[in-house]
Amino acid sequence: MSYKKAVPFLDQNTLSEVFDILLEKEKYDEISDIAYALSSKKVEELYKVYVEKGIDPTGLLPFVSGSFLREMVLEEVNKL
Amino acid sequence: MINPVSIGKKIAKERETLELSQNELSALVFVTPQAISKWENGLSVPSVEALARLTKIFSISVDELLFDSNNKNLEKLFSEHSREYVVDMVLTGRVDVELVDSLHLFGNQERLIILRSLLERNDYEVLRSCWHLLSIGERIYVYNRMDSAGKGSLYLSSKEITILKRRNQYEL
Repeated sequence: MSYKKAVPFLDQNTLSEVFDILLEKEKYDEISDIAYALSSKKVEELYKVYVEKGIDPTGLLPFVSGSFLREMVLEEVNKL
Repeated sequence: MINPVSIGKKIAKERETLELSQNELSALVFVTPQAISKWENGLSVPSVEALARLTKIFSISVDELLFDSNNKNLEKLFSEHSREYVVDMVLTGRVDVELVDSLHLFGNQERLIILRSLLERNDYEVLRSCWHLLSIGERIYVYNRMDSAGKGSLYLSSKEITILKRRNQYEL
């Protein structure tokens, strides 16, 4: 049975372990699938990895904190 | 977490103030008109680059685009009172907030308390407005409670019902 079905019922520690394993294996599509259940801190960590790897991180934005997004947008505004 | 619905409403409002069509705005932001429609309906969030361009086009601050004033009030309350007290204020209507705009400011346990209260009050209108903001776990909780009250079909597509019923084998 896919672990994805159990994701909504996992605690943050277990989810964090799943996240670390998937990140190590560079399974980005699978991480994106469980992003909704991760803490915003983990998603922000993932956002930076995506940017470094050249992967579009926009799909992660609904799960980041307002302060993180604010900082990213301000940085981008300064570039314009 | 951020609130796609709140950001979408702000984009639509500012676009209309400038009397721009979705097509015209899309050309200025270098995206498709469909993207603008999705943003305005809270179905997706603009990229960081697009958000930056939008602040320039609308001549508003990043904070004005990302956060609404109701939430600023709520955040102020959170900084002045215990979280339990603020949740109680929201539940008893002593603070004027739209849950659809502020649900993301609450933690998982607080959200569950709010959802339970809405269910107990049969406040299906608010539940309906917040439905797209709920996690799958929360949807299953609400669905199960509403299904037993014969209200579940009001809120779910048949596809969602199938998915959730399949997942119901897991206990919350």
